[in-house]
Amino acid sequence: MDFNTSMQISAIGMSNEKARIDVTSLNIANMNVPHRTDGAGYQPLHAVPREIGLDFLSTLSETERTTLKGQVDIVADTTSESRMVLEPGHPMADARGYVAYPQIDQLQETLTLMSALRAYDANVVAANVTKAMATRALDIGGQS
Amino acid sequence: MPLINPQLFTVARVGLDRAAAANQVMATNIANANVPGYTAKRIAFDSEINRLSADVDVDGLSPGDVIDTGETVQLDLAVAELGQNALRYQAIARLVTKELGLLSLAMQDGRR
Repeated sequence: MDFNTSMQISAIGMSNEKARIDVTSLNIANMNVPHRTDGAGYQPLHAVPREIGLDFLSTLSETERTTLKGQVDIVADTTSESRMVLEPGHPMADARGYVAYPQIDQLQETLTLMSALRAYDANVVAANVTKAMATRALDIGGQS
Repeated sequence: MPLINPQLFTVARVGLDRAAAANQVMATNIANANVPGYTAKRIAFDSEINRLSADVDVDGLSPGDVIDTGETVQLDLAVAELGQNALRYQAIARLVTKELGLLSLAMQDGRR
């Protein structure tokens, strides 16, 4: 039985959760960056991980297999409306005194951070368990 | 009954293989825990392993079918199951070591 596959599955799991944390951090960092008056500006991002199948190693390209990357799609949310905040006198304010900010919910982003962190931990546990099993297999036939 | 039961090693091998396969499926569940729409998988083992007799065709045993439980992954349960499974693996590995120790003891005429 090949323990490498289990290990790589956990590694991809960790990499996926890290991508979610990256994207969430980016959203939080840009939360209060106003849109330009022509409407252009930061769009909230979503990390959408792809499902890892049991036979996933055969579905990966050579590069993906060596780097274990490319398992998360990062999608910009172009449909959400801007968050309008009344700040008259702000240099980016429109004619009515409103400034447009990206539609980012801080509570939601924080929850995503926490759930990604827990899932990352779980993947670390899984990798450690796999390692313990492989080590124990090496002990077979040793001093009992 | 011989001192060293050759069937034991065969059955232990199947047990180790199955625990390792289950570990892979559980690791996959954990890795996919936050994938939208993913449902937990598990391995359905047949009960062939229960018969510790000479006529069990070990190589013909299927490693177990992966079935879809249709439920979302519960991270805490998944990690607990993973630990349980690893414990089973370690127990079987320990058993093989003990059996080999017996064999070694017999070869040395009972001397350590």
